[in-house]
Amino acid sequence: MRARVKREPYDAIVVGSGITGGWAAKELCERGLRTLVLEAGRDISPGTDYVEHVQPWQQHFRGFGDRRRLEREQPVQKHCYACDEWGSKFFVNDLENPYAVDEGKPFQWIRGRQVGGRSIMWGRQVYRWSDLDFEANLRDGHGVDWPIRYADIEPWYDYVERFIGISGNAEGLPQLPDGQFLPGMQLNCAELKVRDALQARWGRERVLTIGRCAILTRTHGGRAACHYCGPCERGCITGSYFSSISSTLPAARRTGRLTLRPDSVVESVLFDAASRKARGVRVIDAGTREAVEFEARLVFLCASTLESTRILLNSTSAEFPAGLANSSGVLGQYLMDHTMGGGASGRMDGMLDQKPFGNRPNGVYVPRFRNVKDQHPDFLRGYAFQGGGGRAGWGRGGSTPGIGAEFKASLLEPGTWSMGLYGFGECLPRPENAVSLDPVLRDTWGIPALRISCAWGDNERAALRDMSVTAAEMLEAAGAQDVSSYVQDNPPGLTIHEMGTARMGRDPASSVLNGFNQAHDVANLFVTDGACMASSANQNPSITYMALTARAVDYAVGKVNRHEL
Amino acid sequence: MERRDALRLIGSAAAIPVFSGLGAERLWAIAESTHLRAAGAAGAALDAHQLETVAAIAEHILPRTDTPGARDAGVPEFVDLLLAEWYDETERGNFVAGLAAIDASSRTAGSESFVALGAVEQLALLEALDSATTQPALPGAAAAGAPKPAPPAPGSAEATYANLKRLTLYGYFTSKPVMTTVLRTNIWPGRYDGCVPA
Repeated sequence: MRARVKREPYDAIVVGSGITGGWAAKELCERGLRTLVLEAGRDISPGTDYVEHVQPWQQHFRGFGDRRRLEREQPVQKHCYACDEWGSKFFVNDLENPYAVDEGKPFQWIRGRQVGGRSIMWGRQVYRWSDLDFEANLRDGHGVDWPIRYADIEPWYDYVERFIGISGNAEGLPQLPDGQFLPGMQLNCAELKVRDALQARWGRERVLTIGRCAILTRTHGGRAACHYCGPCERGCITGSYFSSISSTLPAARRTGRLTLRPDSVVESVLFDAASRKARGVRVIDAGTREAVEFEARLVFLCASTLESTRILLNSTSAEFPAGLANSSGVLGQYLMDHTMGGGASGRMDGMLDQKPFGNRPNGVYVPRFRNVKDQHPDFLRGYAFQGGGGRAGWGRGGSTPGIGAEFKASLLEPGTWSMGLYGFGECLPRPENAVSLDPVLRDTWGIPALRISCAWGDNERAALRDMSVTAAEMLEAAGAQDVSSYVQDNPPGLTIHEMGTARMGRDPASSVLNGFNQAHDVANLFVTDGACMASSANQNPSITYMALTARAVDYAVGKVNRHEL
Repeated sequence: MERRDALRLIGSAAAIPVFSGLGAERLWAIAESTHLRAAGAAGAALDAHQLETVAAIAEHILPRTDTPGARDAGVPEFVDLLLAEWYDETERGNFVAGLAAIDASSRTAGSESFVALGAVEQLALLEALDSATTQPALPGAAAAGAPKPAPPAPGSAEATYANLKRLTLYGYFTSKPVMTTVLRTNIWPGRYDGCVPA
């Protein structure tokens, strides 16, 4: 099909409007570039789309969700806790967006296609990497060496954190550098007890701190402080957590140089053989199904880890028959996600005269302590815990004996305190964890779908087992009762930290991107979402993507201004 | 005659001599048809008798006191909605079979159905089901690796009771009257304090 070519004068095209697309748009626009942001999904109107204050009794199924519709249209997405009766509209329709997996290798690919992308329902946890992470591949030989170190990204962490607003407490830990923090949220009674017990038993080796999160604890940059209603993943009308809608896209818009085009499904990046540069992108209009081409001097892929790689794999030419910027042949390989679900929980007796007030949309964090100084005999790399404490609510009634007036009255009072720790672990980069274009399957817009082949290895499983042991020993050290530990069998994908497949590296023969997220093969093509990652660390990755994006734009625009691009 | 009055009559001692000459099957048929006539409208998934059974059990679990009861909070309608639009056919069949099993237990207690039992007998039957399905965990049982008791068989009185207890709690505490007048859910707390006096 012949495409209509749009001749609007854009300097840059950004594919995707989520966490990294919003940052690319803001930085490009503020540096004077006329920027077109292409978003595959619909536009979002916070006034009508955000539902954080809608109560269960205002929902048809009281929050149970429309199970039959979910099973029919969102059989993958429904596995995410946030894809419920309130938030399922922020997740893709799996029938329209199919993908294939290898037999016996489940992968749950959780996606949001709308303006704002997954920045609407992300987990909002923000943790910097350190050189323990950037040097990991070099140290143990898994994956290729990162082309950058902490010193390269540190000023960019500062830059993005100052803009979006991060709350947290400084701890001075070398493996988890402190950031630009607004005041941290409070710990509750149970968490304080565990924090003090860890301090007493392990000193600074095992530390419990309040979660570092992209939620404002005071007014910041014209955005209001959190009002502690609780369910951020349903949207936030006060814009108190970072989403591209609340933060970066408005900044881009203020420059007057932003054009945001929703319902624009990017099919491929167009390659100009003569200049060996990306000419622009080819879009399928989600509504009309018309093919349209847009041209620009710079192309930033920020479509999400697997969507950006899918676009590159689908951008074939005589020069790049196996996908654009894939002279190395590693495009699609070294897919990672974080493991999750080794942990423990227990009851914390006492403190019955105390309770929390408000709904804190954040938990606690126990930074990595394994393989920081000494090497654990069973596994490489590390893991960290998220978790929290609280008093039981009426939900405990289902497993509490009793009926009648007294039973009812007891459920109106808070129950006992409990505390849980839930581990998130690093995943080694392995070539066999890979994506490719399925030869048959296509999405609703006729674009080849991905085939994903991904499985955990022994290293990940060993770390998961260790999480359940150390979580239990920490809770027991704090005096928790009836501690139960567990190891969940969550498939890759479900942690929604999928990363890699277009990795950064020093050598064009073994990596897709250089140290500035620039394609080795195509000078004006940048990939700044999770696809660029050469290893996974165990920290929630979004802040690193943001910092890399801002840094990449600074580099790219510098090149443009010096007429080197 | 009000629905509850009719049910009370059927369950009362005065009615027993009238029916005493009839066989169990005939009694059951009479009771069922009486319920259908006396009870309110059928729900979307449950017939009028089943809906009244659900309502009676739910009200025992969370009775009206100085705060609303399960009926006031619309629990029976919520359960019926989930059965009709959320449960699959097997789950719905199991739930209804469990209600019939509860009626069958009531017949061994000398009544033709659960709703026809006196309030005291109803409570006794439900308390037996409750202690059979919500045993408190033994201290240290989890740590000692003690096996969890097997869940009750689907379609049994125990399974339906345990399920209905959870649905009752959920339907009650997420209802508009309870959230707005009892829990007084605050959707704009404005601050978070980790430890305040309970």
